[in-house]
Amino acid sequence: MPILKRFLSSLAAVLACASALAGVCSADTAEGRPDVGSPPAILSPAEVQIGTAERRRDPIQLAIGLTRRARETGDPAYYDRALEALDDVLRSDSHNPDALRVSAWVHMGRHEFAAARRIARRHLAGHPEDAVAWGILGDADMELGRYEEAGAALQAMNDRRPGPAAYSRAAYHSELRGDLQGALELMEMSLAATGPFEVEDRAWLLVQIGHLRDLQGDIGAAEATYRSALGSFPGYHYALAALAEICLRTGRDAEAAEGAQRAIDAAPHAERYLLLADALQALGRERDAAAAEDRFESLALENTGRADNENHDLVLFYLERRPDPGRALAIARREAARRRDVHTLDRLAWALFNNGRQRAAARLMTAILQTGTRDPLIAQHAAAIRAARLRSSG
Amino acid sequence: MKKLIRARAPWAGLLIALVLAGAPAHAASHREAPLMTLDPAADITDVYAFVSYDDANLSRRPEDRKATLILNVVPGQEPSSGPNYFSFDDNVLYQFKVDNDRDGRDDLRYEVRFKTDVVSPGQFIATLALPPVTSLDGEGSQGLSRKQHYTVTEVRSCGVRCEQRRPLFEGQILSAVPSNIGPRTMPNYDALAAKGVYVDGPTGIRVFAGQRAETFAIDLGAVFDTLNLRVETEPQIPGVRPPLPVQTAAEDADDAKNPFGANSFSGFNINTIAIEVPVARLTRDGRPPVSSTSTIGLYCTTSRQVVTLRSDTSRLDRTRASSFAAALLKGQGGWKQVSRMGNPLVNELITPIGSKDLWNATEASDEAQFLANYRNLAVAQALQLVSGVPVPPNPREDIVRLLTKYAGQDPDPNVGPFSELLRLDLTVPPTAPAMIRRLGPLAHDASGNSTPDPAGFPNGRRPNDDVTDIVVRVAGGPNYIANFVGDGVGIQEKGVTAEFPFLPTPYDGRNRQHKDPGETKN
Repeated sequence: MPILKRFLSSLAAVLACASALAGVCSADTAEGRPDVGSPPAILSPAEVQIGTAERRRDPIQLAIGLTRRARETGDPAYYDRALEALDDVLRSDSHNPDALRVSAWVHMGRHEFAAARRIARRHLAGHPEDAVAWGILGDADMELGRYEEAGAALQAMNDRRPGPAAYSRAAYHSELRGDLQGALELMEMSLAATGPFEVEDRAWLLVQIGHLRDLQGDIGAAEATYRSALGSFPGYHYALAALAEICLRTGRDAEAAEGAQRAIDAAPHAERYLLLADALQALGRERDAAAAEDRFESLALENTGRADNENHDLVLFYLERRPDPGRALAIARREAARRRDVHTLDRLAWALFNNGRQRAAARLMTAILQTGTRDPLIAQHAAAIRAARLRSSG
Repeated sequence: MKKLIRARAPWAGLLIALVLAGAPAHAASHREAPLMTLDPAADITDVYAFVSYDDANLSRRPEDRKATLILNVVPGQEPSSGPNYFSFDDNVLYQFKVDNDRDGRDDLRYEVRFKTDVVSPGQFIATLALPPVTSLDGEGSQGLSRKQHYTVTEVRSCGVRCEQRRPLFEGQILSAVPSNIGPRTMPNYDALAAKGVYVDGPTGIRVFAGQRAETFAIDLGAVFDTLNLRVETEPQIPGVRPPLPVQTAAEDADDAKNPFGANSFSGFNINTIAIEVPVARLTRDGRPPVSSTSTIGLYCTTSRQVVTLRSDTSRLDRTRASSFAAALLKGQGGWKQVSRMGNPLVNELITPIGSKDLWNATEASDEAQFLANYRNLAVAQALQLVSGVPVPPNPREDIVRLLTKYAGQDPDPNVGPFSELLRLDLTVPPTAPAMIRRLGPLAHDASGNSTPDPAGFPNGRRPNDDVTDIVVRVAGGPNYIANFVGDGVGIQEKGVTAEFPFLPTPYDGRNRQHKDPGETKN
């Protein structure tokens, strides 16, 4: 039956694509119809890798498989298991290069960016030719807002081993610097270089391509691309969430609510409750929407002191949904003490602005924009801060 | 409840849409791009070089013969992997590199570049047989939503920093043969694939690019499980612990079946670029090969475009962002070699894990830096460890000579050049398909009497040569040769293909099957 299920999923993806072209936003799950968004019925590449590594008692491959599975599912418990597997190796050989490299990658997955950076640098000191380690260092520097160093690390990765992983990172770097078309081309290069077996990797890249097309204003192409991601990896939570967002923005509120709920069911990232809340609100289900916001707040507060948190969204939540500007500023400052990327600094600037600190907000926003970012939310905040400054000076 | 309660801001109504547009895949918090991603379109799985053994070439005079060079990529293709089938990559440079003056450096290259045309951008599935596909282009090809085309260029060295580039096929754009999806989509795949064989009139060169069945046969699971080879026969060597995978002479001489191993690649496909060149075109003087010019060395490489990121952005401001964006240079870093192959299994069995990227990025002529890996032959030590049967002691200068030197070159282990090349003596006559022996020079009859087939590996390599058994025996030395040691997998069930491109019709997606020993399903 798994083969049949897979066929039906593929067929459904084709049908869904046709629907997308027709402007329909339904990932139909009605009984008797194929289910594009159901969880994969066959083993994912990561599951296969985990099984093989367990049979061969290979802790390095096991850790890699578990880390990939963490991204497939959004379940951070896989990271914990990966670190346990690596600890067994590092206890007997603290300089084991493979274990160090994968350990840095796992810490990235756990959003422990500084730790990932430290381990990657330690590994690279002895293995400067390791392209993957340069990629991890570049990832960490990007998340920490060390963009100059990130560019150098990602260049080192590209110089040593151009390919799908290096291209997608160059794309992110380009997007952050404001070159959306360049980012799109690089992301498509990465997709072209990623084999058909790597279904989750392909789905992730397709979600990014959809996002870039969305930023360029082609919402139809974005939606079709998200559906392709679901065809590559049925039930993929990132694609479900992205598709639900498109539905909400285009007035398909019921489908947005359904999609958001399915994304939550697939991987309960807290911020998805905000998406669900917005969809429910649009449907006039205010009590349900409030409950969804409550759920977000509860989860986000639970995580706020952790490395893997929703503080970006929590700051906005306390500025715009349930105003508590002082609390928002405190959270923004705490996060900015940990990382200085444009998104974190934007939340800090926005919190400062909403606490009456217009000049400080304007200074910070100027620095953010020096990166070249064309992130629409940042642009909107920047416009508001600039307008307020003009009003006050006029 | 209000979504946005700060009504003082006139832009607030747009906020949700903007938040949503900017936040895919946890983007605002953390973006986890795939890292340990394989690169199948650039991953060279096998390289073959042999004097063609089709009827036409067998009947030619030696000086008029042609040799076939093959480069395989995209390994382990499950034929039923729809809807995403298998392609070459537009951003990869595929190269055949020929050394014909024995210095280890390439004197002649064949470069292949692809371009993918998406015919139906909105069509998610790669191929939908409406109508069935009977042609690679034009009428009968409407069912192909994506088509790949390619060019072939011959590049001949003419001195220091001098190259003569010659587009073959008059610069014509050639069509690659798509994956074999199934009989409804492609009712006559053989006829379709035959349309993908092109002949360049002026040079006599033939070329094919597309999907083929995998002929490399190996018990991969057993080999990489610390040489945990399967065996059903009793140990032939007294005191062996645990028993070596020893075959009887009769089993080993039988090229019609696999005695006990499981062919890990049974039923899988690969992507092939095959080019057939007149032998006189491969020699250094452009004349038919004679003893002094007869041996060429081949290796193949894939290279990817390096992306250049500009990072001097610290003083950028908003108004300069667009100029910065324009300065992001893509594809201007040139090509970076990411995979190479000459002899089989060198990267897998000789090169340590930590050196593989570096080895792949290195030209064959720079092999001297890796000679320690040949001399301290880890696979031989592993054989001895698991079997208890002695192997020749290190340093293994015999392996260095076999894989990095031409016959007749200075045997002094300190004297180069050392270049890892698949060497082919173009004057060795091809063996007719029915007479091909998988063990080449180590072939024998059922009684164990030597019946060598000199046209096989390590004199070049043919698609059905059993390189695993040959490599294990050469690595293990006389004890392993005498006892017919191997992985118990010698053949691929489709057998020898007697016509260019000398690789079998790929398994189709609908009817594919993977066979273990004893399985008879059809």
